[in-house]
Amino acid sequence: MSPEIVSPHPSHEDLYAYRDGELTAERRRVVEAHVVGCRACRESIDEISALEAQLRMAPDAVDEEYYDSLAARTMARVRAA
Amino acid sequence: MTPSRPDHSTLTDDELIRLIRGGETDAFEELVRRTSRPAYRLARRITRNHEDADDVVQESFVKAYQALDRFQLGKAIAPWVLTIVARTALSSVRQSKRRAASALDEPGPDGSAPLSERVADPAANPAALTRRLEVERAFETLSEEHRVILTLRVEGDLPYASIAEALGIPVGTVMSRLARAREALIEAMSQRKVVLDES
Repeated sequence: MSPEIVSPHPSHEDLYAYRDGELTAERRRVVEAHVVGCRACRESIDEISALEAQLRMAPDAVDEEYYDSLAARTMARVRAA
Repeated sequence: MTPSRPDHSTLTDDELIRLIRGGETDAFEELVRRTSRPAYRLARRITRNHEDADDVVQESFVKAYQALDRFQLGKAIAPWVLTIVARTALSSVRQSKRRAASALDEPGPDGSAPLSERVADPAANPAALTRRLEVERAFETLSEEHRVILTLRVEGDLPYASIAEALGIPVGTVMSRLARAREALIEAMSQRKVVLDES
């Protein structure tokens, strides 16, 4: 099995910005060309994606009823402002 | 007979905003309902306690209402609202004396279950529960700077430009700080794994 072709690793900043869709088109092409051929970088992206998915899945710290009362109290403040 | 309230739930964000700008204040409640969950989650993670988060969210919506004329139609309203929430929450943290050691163990409103108990969803398998709680605990060990920027990205789903605006820093600094925060989270997880393996 031939080894993956790997150009120099992008910085962590560029790697994560690539994942976030925040690179310029030109920079994205360069980073993407590397990531496609680099298992280590793909694993880095996967690792942080999994951790952040866990944080997003954290349940609300409040019950559903809270949001109803929040809307009512907020509108009272909006009207009074 | 009480007149029924108009149903604004089917309106697009732009239609809603036009109504509000035209003087229909009640329509703003629909905007609140659409964004209050991510707004509260964002505020809660930054302030780390319910009372401040609750106040921040309400104050943010008042600011949003007062600034609505400056909002550019055609764009999504949620990132704009969440940027206001982020700035208000950060200001609150600087001023507040109510600083929780850990947001996980803070009770909810009226003393309801803290997040650490809510994370333990009985429907999830034990391994998933442990993992989820460990990620939360690792997150809690990060510096405030790292927790805030990760929260803006993860809970707010804010683009870098909005994060930059919320924090008052250049986009380049957002990139570097976010990368360091993510590396810190990965390191915190590996350290917790070492502790768990040794216990």
